[in-house]
Amino acid sequence: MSDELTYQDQTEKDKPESRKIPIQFIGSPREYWKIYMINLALTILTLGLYRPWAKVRQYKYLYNHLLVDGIPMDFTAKPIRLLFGQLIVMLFFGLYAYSQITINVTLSVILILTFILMLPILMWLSYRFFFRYTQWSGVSMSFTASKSEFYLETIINSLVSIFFITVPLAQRRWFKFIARNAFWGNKQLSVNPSLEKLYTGLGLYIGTIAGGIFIFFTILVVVMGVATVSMPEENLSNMSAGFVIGFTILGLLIYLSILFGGMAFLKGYTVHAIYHGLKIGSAKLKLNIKPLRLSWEYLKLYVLTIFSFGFAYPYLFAKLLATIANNAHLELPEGESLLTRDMATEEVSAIGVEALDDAGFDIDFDIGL
Amino acid sequence: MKFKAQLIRTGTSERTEVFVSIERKVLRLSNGDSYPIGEVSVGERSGVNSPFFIFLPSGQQLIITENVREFADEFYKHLPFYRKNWLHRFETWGKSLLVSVLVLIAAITFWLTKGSDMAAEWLANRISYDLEYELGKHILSGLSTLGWTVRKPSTSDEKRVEELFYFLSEQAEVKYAHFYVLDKPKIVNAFAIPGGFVVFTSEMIDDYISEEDGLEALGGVAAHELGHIKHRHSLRILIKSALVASIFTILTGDVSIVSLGMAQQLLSLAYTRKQEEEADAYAITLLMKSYLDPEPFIELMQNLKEKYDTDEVPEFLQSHPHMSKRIKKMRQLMEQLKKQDFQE
Ligand SMILES: [Zn+2]
Repeated sequence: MSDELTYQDQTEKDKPESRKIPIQFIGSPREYWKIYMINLALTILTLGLYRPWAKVRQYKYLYNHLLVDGIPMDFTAKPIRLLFGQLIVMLFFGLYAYSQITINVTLSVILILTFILMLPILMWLSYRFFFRYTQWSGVSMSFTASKSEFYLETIINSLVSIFFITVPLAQRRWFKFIARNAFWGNKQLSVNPSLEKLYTGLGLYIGTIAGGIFIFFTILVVVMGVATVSMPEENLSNMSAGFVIGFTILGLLIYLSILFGGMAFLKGYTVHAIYHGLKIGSAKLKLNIKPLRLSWEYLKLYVLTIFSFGFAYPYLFAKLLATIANNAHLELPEGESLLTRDMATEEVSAIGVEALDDAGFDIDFDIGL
Repeated sequence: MKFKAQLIRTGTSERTEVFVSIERKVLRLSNGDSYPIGEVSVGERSGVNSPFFIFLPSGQQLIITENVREFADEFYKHLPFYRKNWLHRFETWGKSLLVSVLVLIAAITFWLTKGSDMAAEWLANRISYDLEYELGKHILSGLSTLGWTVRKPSTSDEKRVEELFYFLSEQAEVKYAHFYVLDKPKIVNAFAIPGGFVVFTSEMIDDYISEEDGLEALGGVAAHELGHIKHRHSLRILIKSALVASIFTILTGDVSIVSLGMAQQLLSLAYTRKQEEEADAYAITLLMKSYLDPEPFIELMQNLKEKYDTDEVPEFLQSHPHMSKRIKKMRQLMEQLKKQDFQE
């Protein structure tokens, strides 16, 4: 309770003379779900050939229904570029599959090593791709970090994250780096993620998991104890099969809840730390939603996604996006303007996005949510 | 009808509010500009209420977020059919999801029951024997990485089986045929790898060679494997599993199945029941054509059937629940062929 009050107070005190720029998501989660499912069906029917179109249509839906100052965001990538990227990536994975069929260990190892070494480059391409094709008010965003700079930063970042406890430091460094190199037209982005929030997220993550495991084993010990004491020998062996199955299911559910609970805390606090206070030029993004509430929204997303076998994901994701967007606004100091000039130039390859996507990395909205 | 729109200047985010109306295939802006509808382009739309992004020939952008449905009706009325945004129409059609799901279910059913086998057979027939041989060589050398040690026959018993195998392969007129022995793992098994490689475990040779008619029985196993080779079954299985795995990978983006699927297929080489029966029939015919008695082979199968009731079923006994049927079918074929011989 007091948390909410304090930072709303801050908001008011920080910029007494400022203009509020509204952000709203006007899409319908149900409609997004339907479009997602139709496109999924078309993708399967065309053996994946339609996938770039499906992707662009999904992004378009989310972007075009996100209004900032009444103007919709736009995703301007051409599906055909994504198709080209996908074909190249498929060729690579085809080669990998071939190395597996023929059990050609040398080739597999070379391919895996190539992929690992290329990973930062692919990430770099992904960032460039998503920024380049994100447009608002006729002006595209861009990501200006050079390849070598980005490569170096990923290495430093993974070194810093080696120690579990330093992960927030790495995150903070990383997002500062990304923002520093991100532009909307000629306006630079900047973030200053609160270390306190990042550490709170990590702490709650560890706490949830540790606490969950402790509770689970306590229950286990108690129940087993009761069962052994109260049941005669011969009944025990009869009951044990049902017990094992029951406990496996119960254990799995508890395990998943613990894991998702922890992950939701981590995600909620991290997203809040990054986005609350993000600046585009002098405009500042404000989230009118507490980190704890955000974590709760993520928990719903994770748990319901699992229990619906993934089918509810598009619906839940759009809903989450709506919750965040409708609880956010930009704050522009009086006298400043949001105007910018378009700086975007050449097209950016989609190989990075496709490769990371095919390898199971979810970079798509990692920049976002 | 007049529609509120934001006109965005080229190269900056500067914008002005204008009103747009469509009159006689011309887009009229309240600032006095006008553009023929054929000369503007529209961004793809996703969703019924999705905003309109209109790109004007001047480089400016027109964004309409209010009353988009009414605007769409007026706008698309004037466009030729190929510019009517069909994808968007399909998505927003009430039955689109139902139709796509039904078509999808039909397609998947077809693929699982017929399509993948047909595609695999079609592809297998387009692969040359030389290429298949190269593929087989790779697989054979790869077996050692799985802890399987394949070697040439060395003992006199093994050489006797090998001799019989080559005799049968000549009768079978296959382009490539090679005989190998496997020491590890210690199981009774035999299998065929693409490119004409037939592998017997030393355990199987040792178990049966000393029995009465043991050599003939092992010859039957060889004939059965030659049947798989003649019909290119293992190649077809590999292609099929590669097809299934790659489609899965494309659709889900999960690469792990590719490697998992291959290794599994290699180890178990799960032929279909139909393929096993084809190989059985081929074996009986080949044995009789070569003046060998199929009976010891049938007995060996009977014997193994009783021995291995559940797990660790040798490859040529893979479709285990149908063993009795397979044995019966082989007997029938044998009688039939004997009768034909007799009549001739
Ligand atoms: Zn077989």
